[in-house]
Amino acid sequence: MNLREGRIGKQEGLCLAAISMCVVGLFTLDPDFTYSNGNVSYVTLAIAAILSLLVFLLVSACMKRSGYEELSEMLEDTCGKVGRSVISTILMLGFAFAAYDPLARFVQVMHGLFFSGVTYRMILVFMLPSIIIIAWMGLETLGRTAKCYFILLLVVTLATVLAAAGEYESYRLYPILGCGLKQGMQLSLSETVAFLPAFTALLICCKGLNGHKNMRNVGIYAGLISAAICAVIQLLLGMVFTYSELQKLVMPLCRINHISIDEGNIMRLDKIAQIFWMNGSMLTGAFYIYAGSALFSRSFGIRDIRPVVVPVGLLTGIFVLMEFGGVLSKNEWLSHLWISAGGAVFAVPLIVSSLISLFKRNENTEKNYAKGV
Amino acid sequence: MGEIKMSFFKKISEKLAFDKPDTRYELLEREKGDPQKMFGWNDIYAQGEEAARACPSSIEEVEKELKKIFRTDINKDVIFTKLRAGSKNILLVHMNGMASANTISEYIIKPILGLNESVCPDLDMLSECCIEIAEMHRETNLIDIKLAIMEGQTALFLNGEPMAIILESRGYEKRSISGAENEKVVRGPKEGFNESLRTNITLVRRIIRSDDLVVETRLSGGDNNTSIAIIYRDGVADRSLIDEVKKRLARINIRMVFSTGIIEQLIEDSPNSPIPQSLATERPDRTANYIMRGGVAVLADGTPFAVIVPITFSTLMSSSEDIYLRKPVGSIMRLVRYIGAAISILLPGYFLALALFHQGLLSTEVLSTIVQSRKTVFEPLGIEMLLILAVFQLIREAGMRVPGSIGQAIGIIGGLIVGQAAVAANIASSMVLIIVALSGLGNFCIPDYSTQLAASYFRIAFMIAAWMGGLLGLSAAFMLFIAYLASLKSFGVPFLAPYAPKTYSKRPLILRGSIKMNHRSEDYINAACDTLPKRSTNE
Repeated sequence: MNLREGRIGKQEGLCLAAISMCVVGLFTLDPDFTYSNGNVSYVTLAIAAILSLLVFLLVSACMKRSGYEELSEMLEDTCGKVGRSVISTILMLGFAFAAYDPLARFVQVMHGLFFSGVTYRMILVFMLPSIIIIAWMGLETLGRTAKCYFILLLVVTLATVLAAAGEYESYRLYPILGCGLKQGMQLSLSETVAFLPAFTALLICCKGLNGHKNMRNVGIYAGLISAAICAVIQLLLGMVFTYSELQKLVMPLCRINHISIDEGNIMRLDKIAQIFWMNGSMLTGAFYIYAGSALFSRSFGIRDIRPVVVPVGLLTGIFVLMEFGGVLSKNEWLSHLWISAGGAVFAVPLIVSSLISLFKRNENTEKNYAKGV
Repeated sequence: MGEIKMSFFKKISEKLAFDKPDTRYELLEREKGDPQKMFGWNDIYAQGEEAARACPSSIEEVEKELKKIFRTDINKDVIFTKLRAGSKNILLVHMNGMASANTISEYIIKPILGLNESVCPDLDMLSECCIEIAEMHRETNLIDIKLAIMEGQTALFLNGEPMAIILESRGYEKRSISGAENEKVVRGPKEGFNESLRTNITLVRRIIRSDDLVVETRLSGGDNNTSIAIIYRDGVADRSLIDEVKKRLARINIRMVFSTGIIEQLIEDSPNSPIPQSLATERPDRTANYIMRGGVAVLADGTPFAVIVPITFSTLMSSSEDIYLRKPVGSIMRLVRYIGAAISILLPGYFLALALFHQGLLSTEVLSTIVQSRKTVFEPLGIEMLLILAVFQLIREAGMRVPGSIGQAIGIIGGLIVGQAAVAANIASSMVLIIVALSGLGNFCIPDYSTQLAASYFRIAFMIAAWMGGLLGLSAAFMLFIAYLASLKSFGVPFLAPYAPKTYSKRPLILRGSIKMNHRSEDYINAACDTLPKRSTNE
C-alpha cells in the first residue's frame, strides 16, 4: 500500500471524482434549458459523460506520450509560460464557478426547505468555511473524506429512489426523445459542464493519483459510474415528474420522496438525504477549489497551494453572494454562457494543448533523430 | 513601515509553514533509501546526555569521583563498601533501597571475603569463580556506571583495573502483578502491567516466545533517566518504522519523563490533537497482539502502560476481548461500540438541532413530549443541554478521582439524586437528561480512555454547532470531523486505514475478521508479508 504524502489511491480518487460528477449532474442542471421540449436528460447526460471521458482520455494519453507528470507542465510546454499563466487563471476561474454552481443551488434549497427565516449569507457562513478548510487540508484528506461519504451518499440516494418506488410511471416519459436529435446533441454538449471540471481536476492531480495509469483508470471508472448513476436517476425522475413539472423544479431529486415519505418519529428521509447531498456538494466545491488552486499555484511557482486556496474559496463565495445579491441574475448572459458553453472553458484549452503536444513531440523526436539521440 | 509589514508577513508565513515542503515522515521513503537519521539512535548525545568519562584505575580516585558525582556530603543514599579480596582492595558501590542488601551481602560480599589472603584476584577471576550473581557485565564509562548504580545495580571496582563489574542486584519494592483495571475483559487473561519495566518485558516475552522478538532498552531523554524499552519483531515490523520510533524517542529532550503518557505526546505526529495516535494499553496480551502483527511497543519504567504505534481509528475502537469471542459475537460487540460512539458524539447535537430548528422532522407525539417536559424549565434548551453535559463531566471526573466504592456512590448520587432534583427544580427537563445519559452511556462504549475524553469534547463541539446552525451546522461540523480524522496519521499510517485508504489486509474495519486471517500481514504498516511459519513439504 502506498503511504506517500500527498498521494491518494484509486478508490479515493474514484469516489472524489464520482461524487463531484454526480452532484453536478443531478443537482445543478438548469431545469428550463434541460426540460424545455421533453425529458431526454437520461440519455444526454450519459452522452455528455462519454464525450467528457473522451476528452479526458485524449489529454491523459497526450500527457503520458509526452511524459508530462502534471497538467501545468504540459500547458507550459505547449503554450509557453505566459500562455500557461493565462490558461491556468481561466481554468482557476472556471473551477471557482464550477464550485459556486452546486453551492448556490444547495444554499437556495437549504433556505427554502430548512431555514426560510435566515438570509442566504447566514447559510453560506456554515458551508463556505468548511469547504475552504477541507480544501486547505489537501488531496489526501479530500480523497479519504470522499471515500467515507461515498457509501453514505450511495445508500441515501438508493433509499430515496426506492422510497419513491410506488410513484414510477413510464407514461410520464412522454414524449420519448421529444426534443429531437439536434437539441439532444446541444444538450449533451452543454451538459459536459457537469463532468469536465472533475476530469480536469483529475488531470491536475495526476501526480497525486500516483501517475498516468492510475489517473486514467480513475477517470474511466468515475466517468462510467457517474454516467450510469446520473442516467438511471434522471430516468427515475422522468418517471415521477413529467417534463413540464420538471421545468419548474429546482432540484427534482430533493422532491422525489416528498410525495411518498410520511412523517417519521425523529427523522425524515427526504430532509436527511438533502443534508447528505449538501455534504456531497461541499466536497465537490472543496475538490474544485483545491484543483483550481493547485493548477494556479503550480503555474505561478507557488510551492504551497494553501495561500491560494483561501482566495479561490472566497471567490467562490463571492459568486454565490453575487447570485443572491441579484448581480448574476441581472447579468443573465453569464449564467447562460456557463450553461451553454461552460464545458468549453475546460475542453478547449485541454484539447488545444494536447494537440500541440502531439506535434511538439514529433518535432522533438525529429530533432532527437537528427542529433542521433 | 514596509519592513515591519514584511517581517510580520514573513513571520505568519513561517508560522503556517507555507512554502516549505512537508517534512512529515513517510514510510515509503525506503523506496529512495532509508529515512535520514537526523538524531539517530547511535548519535544521541545531542539530546543532553553527558559525554563519556573514563573510569580511573585506582579505587581511591573512583571513590572520590563518584562521591563528587553523587554529592555524598549531603546525599547519604549511596553506599560505598571497601573490602579486602585476597591481596587486593575492592570497592562496592550501590544505592540504598534500590539494591537488595541481602543479595549484596550473600552473593557478593560473602564470596569475596571468603577468598584466601594469598590469592591475587583479577576481574575475570572474580566474575568467573567468586561472585555468585548470574547477570553481570563490565563498564568503562563512569557515566554508565553511575546510571547502573542509580538503577539499583552494584558496581564492583578492583584496584588497578580501569573498569567496573556491574552486578545485577536490583531489589526495590514494587507492586505485584494485578488485574488490568481500565481494560477489563470477561474472557481472556486478567493480568496487567505493573510499574517495573523488567516485569512488563517478561509479561510480553511470556506471550511471544519467538526468537524474532527484540527488546531494545535505553534511557529516555529526560533528566530523570527513566529506562524505556522498544519491543518489536525483527523481520516482521517495518524497518523504517522502527528507525522512526527510535529517531523520535532520541529527540526527546525534556526535564522529566515519568510515564509513557509523556512519551506518547512527544513522539506522536499531531501532539495537539485530542484524538490519540498511539494506543496506551495496560494489557500484555494486547501489546503482544500488536507486536505480533508488526507494530512497535514502547514500555517505560514506572508506568503500567505500553504505548503501541502505529495505530488506526479501528485500533482505538477495538478491545482485546474481540478476538477471544466468536466472530459473530465479537462483530456485534464492535458494532454496538461504533453505534455507542456515534450516539455519544452526535445525539445531543442532533436532538438540539431538531428541537430548535427542524421541528418538522419530529412527529407530533415526540414534539409534544419535548414541549411538555420543557414547559417549566426556565433556561433556553441550548444552555440546559450544555449545563447537563457539564454536570455529567463533573460527576465523571469526581467519580474517577475517589476510591472505588465512593466513586460508584458519586455516580449514583449524581445520576439519580441530582438529576431528579434538577428536574424538580425546573433546571433541566427529563428529555434532556435522557439524551445526556444516553450519550454518556455511548461514550463509555468507547474502549480507549483518551478516545472517550476526545469524544466527549467533540460532543460539546457538535452540540454548539447544532445550536448555532441546526442540521446544517451539525453536518458541516461532522464533515470537518471526518476530514480531520482523514488528515490524521500515526507514524505515517493514515488514521482511517484500512478503509480510507483501502489496503489489502482485508481486515474489516468495523466487523471482526476471521481468526484464521490473523497471520496475514498488515500492509498499511508495511509489515512483512505472511507471518505464518512455513510448513515443510513433507507434512
